Amino acid sequence: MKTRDTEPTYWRSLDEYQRTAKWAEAAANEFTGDLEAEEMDGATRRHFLGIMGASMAMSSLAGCDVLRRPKEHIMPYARQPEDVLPGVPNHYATATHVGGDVVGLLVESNEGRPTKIEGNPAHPINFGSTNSQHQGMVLDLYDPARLKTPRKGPVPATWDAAGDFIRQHFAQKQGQSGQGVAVLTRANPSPTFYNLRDRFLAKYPGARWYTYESISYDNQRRGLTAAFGRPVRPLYRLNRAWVVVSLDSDFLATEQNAVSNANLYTQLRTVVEPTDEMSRLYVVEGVHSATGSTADHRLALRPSQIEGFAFALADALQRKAQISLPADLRGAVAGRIADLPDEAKAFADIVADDLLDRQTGKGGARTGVIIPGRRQPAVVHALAAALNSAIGAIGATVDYYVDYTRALGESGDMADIAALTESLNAGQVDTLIVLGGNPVYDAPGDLDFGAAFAKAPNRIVLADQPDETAKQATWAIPRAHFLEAWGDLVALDGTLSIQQPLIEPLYGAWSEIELLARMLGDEDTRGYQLVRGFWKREVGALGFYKKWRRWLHDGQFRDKQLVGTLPPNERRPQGAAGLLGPAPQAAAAGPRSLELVFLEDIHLHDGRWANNSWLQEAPDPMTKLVWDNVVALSPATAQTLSLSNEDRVSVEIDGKAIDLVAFVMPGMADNVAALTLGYGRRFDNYLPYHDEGTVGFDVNPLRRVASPDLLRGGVVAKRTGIYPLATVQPYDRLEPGFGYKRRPMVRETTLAKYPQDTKFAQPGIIQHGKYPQGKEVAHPPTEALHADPVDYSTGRQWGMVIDLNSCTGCSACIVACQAENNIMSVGKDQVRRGRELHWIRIDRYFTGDPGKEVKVVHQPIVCMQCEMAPCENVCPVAATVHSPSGLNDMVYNRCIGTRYCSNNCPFKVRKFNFYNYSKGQAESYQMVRNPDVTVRFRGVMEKCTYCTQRITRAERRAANESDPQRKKAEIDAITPACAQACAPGSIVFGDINDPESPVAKLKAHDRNYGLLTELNIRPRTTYLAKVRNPNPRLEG
Amino acid sequence: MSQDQKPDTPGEDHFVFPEWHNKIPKIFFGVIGPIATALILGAVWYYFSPRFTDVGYRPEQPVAYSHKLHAGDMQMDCRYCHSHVDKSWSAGVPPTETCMNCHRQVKTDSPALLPVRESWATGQPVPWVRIHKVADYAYFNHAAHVNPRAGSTAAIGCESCHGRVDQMVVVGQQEPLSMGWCLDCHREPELHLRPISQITTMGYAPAGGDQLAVGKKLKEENAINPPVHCSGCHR
Repeated sequence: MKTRDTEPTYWRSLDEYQRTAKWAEAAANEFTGDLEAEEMDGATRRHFLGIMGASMAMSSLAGCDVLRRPKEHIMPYARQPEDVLPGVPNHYATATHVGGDVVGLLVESNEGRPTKIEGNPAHPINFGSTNSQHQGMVLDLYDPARLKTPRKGPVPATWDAAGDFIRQHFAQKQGQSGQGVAVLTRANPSPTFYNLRDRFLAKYPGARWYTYESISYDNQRRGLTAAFGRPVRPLYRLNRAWVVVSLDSDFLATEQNAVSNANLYTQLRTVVEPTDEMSRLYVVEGVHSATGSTADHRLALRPSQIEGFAFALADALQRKAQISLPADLRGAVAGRIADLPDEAKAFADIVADDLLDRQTGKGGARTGVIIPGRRQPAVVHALAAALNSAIGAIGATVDYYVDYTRALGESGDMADIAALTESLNAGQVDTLIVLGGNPVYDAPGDLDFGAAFAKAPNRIVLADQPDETAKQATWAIPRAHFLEAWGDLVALDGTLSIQQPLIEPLYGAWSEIELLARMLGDEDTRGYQLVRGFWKREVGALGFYKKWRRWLHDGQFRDKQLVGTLPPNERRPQGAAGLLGPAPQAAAAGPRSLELVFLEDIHLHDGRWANNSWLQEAPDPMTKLVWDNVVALSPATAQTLSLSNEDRVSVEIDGKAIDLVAFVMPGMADNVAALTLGYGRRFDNYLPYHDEGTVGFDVNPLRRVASPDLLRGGVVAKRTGIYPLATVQPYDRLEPGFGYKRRPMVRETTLAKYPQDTKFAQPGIIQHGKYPQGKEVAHPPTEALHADPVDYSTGRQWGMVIDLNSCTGCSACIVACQAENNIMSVGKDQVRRGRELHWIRIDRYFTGDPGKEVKVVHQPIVCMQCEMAPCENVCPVAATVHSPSGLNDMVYNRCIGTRYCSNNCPFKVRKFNFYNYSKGQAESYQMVRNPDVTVRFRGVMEKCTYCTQRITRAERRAANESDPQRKKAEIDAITPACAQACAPGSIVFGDINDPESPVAKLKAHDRNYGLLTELNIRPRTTYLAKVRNPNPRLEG
Repeated sequence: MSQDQKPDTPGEDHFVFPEWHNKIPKIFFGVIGPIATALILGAVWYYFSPRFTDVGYRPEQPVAYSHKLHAGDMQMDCRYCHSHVDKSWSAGVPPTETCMNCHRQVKTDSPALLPVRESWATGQPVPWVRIHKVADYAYFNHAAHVNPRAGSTAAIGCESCHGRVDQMVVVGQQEPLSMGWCLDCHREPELHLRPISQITTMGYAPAGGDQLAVGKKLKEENAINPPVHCSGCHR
């Protein structure tokens, strides 16, 4: 019999760790903020009652008609499409990309409305998973702020006028062989697009072509081009990598191919038997990323020191294993590790031993991999390639694929935008075409691109919204959403997909290729003909019809190989080819001279989804902030600068200053300031219920084209005042109470300790404060909470298991749930009052001393569907009751909003609609709603249902299957939206009464534990305790 | 001043309530009150219920389509037009195309069919008026009732909820479609179960005339157990 006193203490904020007065006060109050809220549209309660009175008076005037419901029409098709069965959604395979990062998708269509995006399980890159951005894209389709008609300057114009202008303008340009024409595009890995580009440049030889992404992989491209002689991109085979070393790379959450990485990485992190082994992750980084939060060991170094660390690692590998590095890199080692702290050198030494220890445990020769982050200088990428080659990783744990997004000899994002700015300033550009993207907002500040942009007499912008760039255009043309346009995409590993639209452009729009075809003066400018025609020429007309049909059905094809891995004779890295400048000077960072790091936002990316309320309201995995960006500082740096959370600050570098708000992030390296990109966008009509027109702060003005992501010498100075931030962390506390000494929510062990105590996660004995000290009381109690508990031993019984080992906190599940279940975004002000409606939240616990190494656990919390649910007994109207299959049903139409259930819920997963959030929203948003789920009204409680609509649908399908195997397959395929999106596969759902189901097997596992089982609530959602795999040499 | 004249007593002309007034509260609370309460309750109970408000709703349709003519006299199967009643939650109001399948040859000049021909020419739907409606938060599934599972020999017929459509020139609502009415059948499905071959039969008579016996047998054979928990219909 053991007590839990040896467990680590978990904390959620620094205030909680230090037990400050502010925390104690907040912990004592159940509700946050001002409880006397005004109506959201500014109307007071009295005003509201006035309106109510008037509408009642009008309804009585209407007389007897009040008894009669309003007349409603049924609008059948005039000609029903063959494949559409009203009421049964269809799924279509398509694909999309973010900055050249392609994923395959399956999109649900309800009578022609795309409503939900899922990953395509057949696609070899994302394996059916998605991230939050992919999940949120469907909302963008219905964004009321979209550009709806072409605009000539600020004036709306007709499509004919736009078409005529393009035709005439380019006919004239042809006469001048395209002199003065410049095209600026985003990364677009599309063969049809490149084909049109080549034709464009052939037809207009004087034209210039620029490619720019604000979130740039220039460093990686330059480093790997130096190493391999041509641009390549790495595909990490993390399902084979036993030791993973991340050099400032957030490869599980925000970096290139993160969905694939998270999926593969998890495969070696699953511990089923005590004898199973795990991979080990070392993260060396300056910020505290989601990847860093899952690491077994984290070393906080300033970004400028990480190059030194990489060379220290090379040095250690050379000393220990006599690996052969290219001569230039070998020569640079000594000069670059001199300034590295001894602690970091020792860390590198241990990491090197681990990378070289290829025989640890069973399984034969093992290989590690080194993953450099995109912000690190090119030389780190070249060095990492050389080290990966030296430890035998190439071909085993990493494959380098030829980069289809960039042509050989292409200069790179930052060089391109700088060159374009220069020629704009020199007056050499007469016509600038922006094919998507928003460079006026996201170009590095030192270019002053906005001013240069205005110097081109003709500025044609293909834009999603009337954004910063489109507002300055002479012609702004609506850009088609990817669900509206035909296209084709090449994934990193060469997998081809057809981007199949699901709907005609809602307001009329052109895709990039359609605009290009018009600029070329083509006869047929329909996207479908462009894409299909291109591929028909590529693979030949013979049997093309069948091939095309199959491609559209499968969502991917390999009939043609455009991209492959490097040929074996080119896999040997050739050094750094002149990337090695003089050794970086001793980094003189201090609290008054900070290193600035610019991070892509995990949800908004570079800001392109800033008008998406789902993504704005999805919390950041680490800060848990919504609707804002901050400058994050380590606790020590913040203390030196006497800053605390929510302090207004100015961030200055070389005379340029912007306003921001401070946030203290445990685990960050000292003297580093992390700024998040993508905020501070301006929209004419922002989301309803949001308090201001802009969200967050634009940090692009500080960036510099020479070094867009890392800068040195930044100064963060306190300004007067407080800027309120909205975080989903400070309430919903799971504090011990009622005399319980401790109720550990997360349980963890290490791989080494696990075999000795496989039952570590089981409830065991909990000391009960009500009894004399030291007296042990058995838990769980046997007393039932309900008078006549239901018998759950027969039939299908739903249950869920969440593996804490693999969750990275990426929040894709939150957005997926929001899309599936018609959950409303509530806005920053309401989140501050604790009224966000997410049915799933991810609690982030820190453990350890914030001054030293901090460890993190992410714990997704959904409705536990308790068999003895405490919420049920307190409902006065029986609006929440049990279903025979173990679901804790919530009946919205019966709920009268007493909120007793929420008060009695030990997990605080029930969410109350304080307002009629869906009212006031633009009509177009109604099209994104899932027709299978009720849109909740104000005054109604709501919560996770395990996606009961999906269960019902699958059970119907299973019932109509006569073959028992297929019947079972339908049931086994039931996946809630959260589990379907989850890239690491942390969420497993199924029938716990079926001993063969994955969920039942996991429930029988030793690591399985329920939360607060001592209350005898018998939760259906349980957790697999976390197992870390620390290196014994770094322990203690 | 006489002895029985008290100084403070008012004069004889002052009004005094007759004694029977004392009975008013008793009459009110004992007799009128209960009757009025019962009447009000009864009125609300009856007049505010779907049985009164919804049953008999017979709106005018944009096309004077007669179910009596098509389903009754001409014996067309319901599923010719409501084609996905066994596959989807929605039974489906037929697309204009379905009408035109016949009416390209039959009654091609009928003025009553003008809206149908217009819809066919323009592609705009015919705006039929909804008659049967359950609340948005109730997810009724036609397929689950007429095609409950593979190999089932029992189902609920169209008639059970929609009435004798074959006799309706203008279709109206026959049943309240209220939750209580749904649950009546979900608790005792044997009262309405019929062989699956008979689902579109109008005026169905159970074999031997004993619905209860037939229904019970069908219920047992097919292990029919309709949901009566909340998420059976609400989500």
